[in-house]
Amino acid sequence: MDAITRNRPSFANIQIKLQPGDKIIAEADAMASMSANVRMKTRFSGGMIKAFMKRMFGGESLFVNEFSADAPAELVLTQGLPGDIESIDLKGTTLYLQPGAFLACEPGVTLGLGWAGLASFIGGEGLFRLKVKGNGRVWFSAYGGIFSRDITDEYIVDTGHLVAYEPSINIRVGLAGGIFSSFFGGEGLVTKVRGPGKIYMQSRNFSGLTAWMNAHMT
Amino acid sequence: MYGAEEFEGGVFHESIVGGRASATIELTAGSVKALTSTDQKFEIRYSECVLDMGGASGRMVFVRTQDRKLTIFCEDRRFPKALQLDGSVELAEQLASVRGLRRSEAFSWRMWLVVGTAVCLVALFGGYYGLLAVAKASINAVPISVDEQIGKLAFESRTVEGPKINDPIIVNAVKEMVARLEPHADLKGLSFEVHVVNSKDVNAYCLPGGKIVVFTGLLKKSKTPEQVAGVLSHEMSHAIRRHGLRRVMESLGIVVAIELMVGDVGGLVALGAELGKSAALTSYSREAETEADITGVRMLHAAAIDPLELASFFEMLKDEGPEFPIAIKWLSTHPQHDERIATIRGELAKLPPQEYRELDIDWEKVQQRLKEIDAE
Repeated sequence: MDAITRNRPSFANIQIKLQPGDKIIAEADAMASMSANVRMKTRFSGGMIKAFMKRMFGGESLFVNEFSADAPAELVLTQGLPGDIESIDLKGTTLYLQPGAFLACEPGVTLGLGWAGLASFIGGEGLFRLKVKGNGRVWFSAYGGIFSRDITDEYIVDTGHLVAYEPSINIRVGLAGGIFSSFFGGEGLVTKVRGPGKIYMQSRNFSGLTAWMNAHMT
Repeated sequence: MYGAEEFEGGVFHESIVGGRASATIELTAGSVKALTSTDQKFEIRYSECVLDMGGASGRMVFVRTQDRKLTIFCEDRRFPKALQLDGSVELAEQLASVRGLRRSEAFSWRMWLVVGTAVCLVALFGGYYGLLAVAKASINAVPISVDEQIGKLAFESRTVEGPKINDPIIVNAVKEMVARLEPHADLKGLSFEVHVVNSKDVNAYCLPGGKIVVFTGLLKKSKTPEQVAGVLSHEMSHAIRRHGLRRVMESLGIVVAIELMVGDVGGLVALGAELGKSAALTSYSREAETEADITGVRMLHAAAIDPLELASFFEMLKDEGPEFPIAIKWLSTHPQHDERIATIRGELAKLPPQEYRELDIDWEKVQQRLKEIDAE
């Protein structure tokens, strides 16, 4: 299965060339266009209860779509926000995704919901996180560009910019500076990540967009 | 026996493509060994191990070389235990101290969270109730003219309950009652104004600032003018105690407190007029009703009108209430009359003896005029 991410980084979308027997699982509503012979099967994302949990806590949709084809076909997947799409090839490894970041994966990948903790919730990163595990590619999307960083010690990310991270990354919430500069400097709470491991960040922050829109609505 | 157990984990090393790979970890007699999914072998001797804990779950164990170039990690819950058993004594100590460190970190973070939340809550509640208290305390600082403005607007915008009665016999009778009571109002600057309205409702109210509206239903129902005076003393007390203004304050709360602090009463007046329309201005809390009862009793007593007449009016309404639906109106805003009769009697017992004088009103003539107006 060939997959190319096009129009990066602003309006990234994945063009997938399905061969007979290929399967891809995508977030509901991710399909932008497809060949007429592509079969789409909609199912709960990992069982009904799990799907509900993911919907409620993981920021994912209740259903996922499974695309397959008997003959070579094309499928284009995209996301709602203007931003980049990144793919990771999991080799028996795990990756944590922030709520709403998941876009698509190959059948060898399982989607699970993991407790992220109160710290994560307070930091505005959600009470739960999506755990993707297994063998195969997983695609996740972001608002703005995606950039990664290998963390060896400690690193600070503003809340809302973290998209994905490896399980070896420890996450805590802290103040950006002192009490005064944290709240009046506009940074507030930040996410403190401790390595070793890799983190993926988005260059834009969705709550930043909503705040900006709010300020311009009359 | 060593080397029996295997764990799933991973390795960080620059020789691996991408810098990391999942691996199978084995604890042998002298070292931690890892075989990666890329078929590379790594080993760290126990004597060279530097331990750390962390990861997304907080319980991932990192085993590193002194130079930190190689890291073997494992999240398996059995791994730390196995490391303690199979590794050297020094390693067990290291593990215990790292665990303690991470735990105390987590604890202190939780502590800060709890303390921070508590401080925020206290600040929020304290601020809210503080401002509310300021708002309440500042009622006395608001000039009476504000009450008058609210009353005037509420009076003008109220739903008119019935045609206005201008008959001098009836109006003067009510004015006489108010005139007896008015000098004993302990709030100066308030001027009462009487309006009689032709309506079957047994009701009366007094708007902030002193506009009194009496319904003919109340006059007809009352056996003596003193009973009416009793009801009026209660209603006037609402104006004297500025319950209407307090209602407005409570409705606006903090906004009002801030407005008062900056000296703007425009919003207050506007809201008062709004509340007046919905009759919210003349329905008070039980606390306010009790206060009005007590103030009313004191006023009646000082004006030498028997406060027990008010109690007897309640008793009469209570007895007849169910059969006379028209009586319900006043009762609906003035519930718990048993309690209130007790309040009146209790308050009266505290006051010195007083020689009561009847009101100088020909009640029969008033009743006669009321009947004539009905017949017209």
